[in-house]
Amino acid sequence: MTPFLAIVGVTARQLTGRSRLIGFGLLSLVPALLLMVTARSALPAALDLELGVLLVVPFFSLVIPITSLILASSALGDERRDKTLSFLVLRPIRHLEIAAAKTVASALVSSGFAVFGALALSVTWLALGGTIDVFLPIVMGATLACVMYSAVFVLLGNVLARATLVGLIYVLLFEASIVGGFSRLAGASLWRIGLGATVDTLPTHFPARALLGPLGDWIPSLGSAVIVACTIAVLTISMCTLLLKRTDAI
Amino acid sequence: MVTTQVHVPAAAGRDGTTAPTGSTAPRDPSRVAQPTVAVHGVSKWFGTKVAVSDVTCSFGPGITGVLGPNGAGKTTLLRIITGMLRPSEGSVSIFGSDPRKDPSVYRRIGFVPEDDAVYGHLSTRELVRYAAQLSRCDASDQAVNAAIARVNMQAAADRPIAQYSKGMRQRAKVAAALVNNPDFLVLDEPLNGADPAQRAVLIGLFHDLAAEGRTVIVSSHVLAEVERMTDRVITILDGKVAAAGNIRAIRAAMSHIPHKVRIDADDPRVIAKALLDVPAIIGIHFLDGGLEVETSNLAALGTALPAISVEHSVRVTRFEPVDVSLESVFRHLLSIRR
Repeated sequence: MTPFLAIVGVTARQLTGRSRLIGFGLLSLVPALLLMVTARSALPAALDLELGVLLVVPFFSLVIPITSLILASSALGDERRDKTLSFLVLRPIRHLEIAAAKTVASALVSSGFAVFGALALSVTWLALGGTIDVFLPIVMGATLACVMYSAVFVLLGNVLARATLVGLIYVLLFEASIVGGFSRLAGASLWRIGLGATVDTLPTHFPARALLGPLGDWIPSLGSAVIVACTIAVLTISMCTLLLKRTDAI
Repeated sequence: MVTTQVHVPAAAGRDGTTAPTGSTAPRDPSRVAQPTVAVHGVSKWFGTKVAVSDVTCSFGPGITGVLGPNGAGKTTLLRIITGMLRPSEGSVSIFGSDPRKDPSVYRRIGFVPEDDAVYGHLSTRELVRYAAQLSRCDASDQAVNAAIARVNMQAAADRPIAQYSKGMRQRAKVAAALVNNPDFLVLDEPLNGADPAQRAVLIGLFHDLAAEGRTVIVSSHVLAEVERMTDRVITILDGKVAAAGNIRAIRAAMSHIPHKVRIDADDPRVIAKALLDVPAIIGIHFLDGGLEVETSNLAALGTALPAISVEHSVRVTRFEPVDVSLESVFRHLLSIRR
């Protein structure tokens, strides 16, 4: 096994302790539960709109960012906190491998929770009389959002002891309140970029207009979202590599 | 600096170099003639705090003890040597390479950090295999089992490390450091938390590693511990080399520092009376059940006491220095240097 895959494997195990599995697993189920509860009181014709709103509000804007940023912040942050970083850096491997492996592991784990949540949401939707073809678009957008949050917060976790707090401020204050009020800033909101990819690939019968409001002025296509996600990942992994190389490994 | 002739075990280095002998060693006892690891003018400061100040020393095959009280700068120095910390000034060379510029040299290095830094969710077997994979070396069951066997951890190898005692965690870290068969091992306080039996296993292992021609640096704040492992020590105080060379010479230097010693005996008055004839005795105070003796020469007192005990048929039940912390000894050595 290559060092890259070894780091991905061990990091994935680190990030999926029992309490995290239970906590983030339950968090991922919240949108599906909300859909189930609200559907009981809604008219069938309004269900498409409800799925749209419930996709946006708890799943893309809270579940994915919170799960991803907490996991990603601890990918390298826990190594610094627990003083195990020397176990990684005092090896005949490039720092790029470490930074990339940590980002990939975080993105994989947080995407796993996102897929679980998307599956629960889609199955609930199916049970309420909808179609399952919303699953893949949700997964695509959610995965892109997970990649972006992971890339950014692995870097911040390496630099800041309180990266999770910074992340929560970014999500709850900037993305939720400021971008919500100034829609021109939508391009700086990571979950909105992921949601743009979902909107772009939703089946035509789905009333995607329900999602347009929270997206703001910029509604990226799937291609644009992929390009932005890749650019963010390349930039942050490069910065993380440089920091690992230049700073003390304690 | 306390200048003593360097003594390095005459084992042949694993890379073909031969360890220096007393006749070929350079005059500076902090250096060896044919070093595998060289530290040149290294300083490290954190803000205004100077942790290591202009340290120059070198290491060859065999065990070298880095000795000093807690907070002296040992760990910082070892972290600089391994490349974990960037020196503010100076340079480090391991087998001719700077580890921060040439990571390939880590194929030949094993490091056991002082911190309780270990992945608690892994078992020893998984930790050792992970270390092998990261070092791009043989990660087969055979190689992993061999490393685990060297530290006597076979029975507990599949339990999560989080369930281990501190001594067992130390051994797990040592196993992980050995799996790449390193030529150079850095062990920062490796005996911390180990019980006497575990200490014996680890010390025996370090001797074996040195006998195989590896360069081994072991840090400790316990003089007696280092004495069981090696003859050659470098002592650090306030980030500087306070003394270097043969541990016996350093001990001899220490013996001339004024010491207070607690002596308990069947009849302390007889001992006290006899000690008055020993020239090195500065003062004697009676305590409950014993004496506190102040001496200018600990070795002389150590020699005289058994003779007095035999001559007067008085059984000595305790002989214990009461104020000789390693720090006070090193401060004395540093004052000699200045």
